[in-house]
Amino acid sequence: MNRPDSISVLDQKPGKDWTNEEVERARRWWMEREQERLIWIAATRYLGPGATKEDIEELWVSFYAEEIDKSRRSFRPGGPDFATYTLHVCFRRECIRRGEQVRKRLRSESSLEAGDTETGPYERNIADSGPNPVQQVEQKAMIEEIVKFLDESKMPLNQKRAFTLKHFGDKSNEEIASELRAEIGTVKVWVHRVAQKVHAHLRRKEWVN
Amino acid sequence: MGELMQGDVYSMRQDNVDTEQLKASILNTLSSDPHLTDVQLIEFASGALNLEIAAVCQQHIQHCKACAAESDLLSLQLAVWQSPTEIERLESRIGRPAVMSQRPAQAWWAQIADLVSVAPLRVKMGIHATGRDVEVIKFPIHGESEIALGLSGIIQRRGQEFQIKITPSIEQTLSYKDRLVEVVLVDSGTDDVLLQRNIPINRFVLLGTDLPIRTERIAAKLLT
Repeated sequence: MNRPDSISVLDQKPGKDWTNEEVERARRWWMEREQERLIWIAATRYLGPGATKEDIEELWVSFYAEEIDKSRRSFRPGGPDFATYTLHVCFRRECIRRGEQVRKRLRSESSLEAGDTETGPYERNIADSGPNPVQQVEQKAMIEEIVKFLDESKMPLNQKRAFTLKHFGDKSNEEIASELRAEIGTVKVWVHRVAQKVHAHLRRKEWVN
Repeated sequence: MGELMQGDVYSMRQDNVDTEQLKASILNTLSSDPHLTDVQLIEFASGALNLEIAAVCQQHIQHCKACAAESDLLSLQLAVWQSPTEIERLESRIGRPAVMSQRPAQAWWAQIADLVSVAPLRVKMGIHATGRDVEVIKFPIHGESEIALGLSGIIQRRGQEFQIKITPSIEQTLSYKDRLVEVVLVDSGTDDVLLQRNIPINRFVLLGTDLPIRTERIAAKLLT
């Protein structure tokens, strides 16, 4: 994301220490048209399937009404920059939470329409497409193999954490950077290094080709 | 249990993890041409990526149907930003007019009397529209108290892409080396700031695509 110096300079200070002028400066920058469109697209992507234009609009409005200030108060230097933290960590989290509500609403609507109050078609699809008991046992064994390998390996703890958050926690590089107080580029390198070793190990054990 | 378990970081998805998905995800991490991440898709679709990264994403999208479909889906959502009345309605919901009209007293562009209008760069509509029409506007660069000598800028629209370049005269090339110019597109009537960027000298920089130009004017200042 391109940011002018007047905005990137804010990355050096914890958000709770910003002056009123700095808070206003950041707000005005988020209100530039390019950022408005960016937030709209981010809301669309992070909400996920099933969201309507109204859902996107409400989230977009909440970004300006709540998210900018909420994320500023928790922002600390050392992880992703303020803009990335606001949009791709805090706002993403809120979008995912609301996206789940949207899908829950859709499921209950479709259940009511089908006269079935216990299990909607969405749940039935999930249940139908899940692994069978044999596959479940195999999957569990493979996960245990990875966990054991990571536990026993001498790789640095942060690298293992980054890999685990990425592949088991469904976290983005930006969220991991925020959680581990590291640069996003560093997180990518960590995840890649561990993935190489895990993949080589799984290949030795013939879990992958 | 090992050190990782103390942090309880990977008890997260173990019970319901899909190992096929996990394998694919690891292979994607190791790929030399991985799928676009959410962040890349979002910033690519909204035109917020810088030129180099956008070119890499474009290259991937050309041969990856999955990412192309995701990107197209997001781009469709920008339709709402084509309608001035819709934009006005949305922006009034977040109180933008009030926030943007509080122009900081120290704003340097407020001190410049002769800002150059960029209205001629508006995308042509109807019978005047062509696929890749080009419009160029020149503008001066201001120094601390007067116009910076031997330095000028152009803002150019090719089709829907807006690019900017600040060029020094041959004699001044060395003295402006590695300097930056702050450029602001500001609506002189409402004081709305459409965008604000720091531009390196002697290089074309993409300002954006499909900028909603109305009555904006451009101001540029050499940074110290």
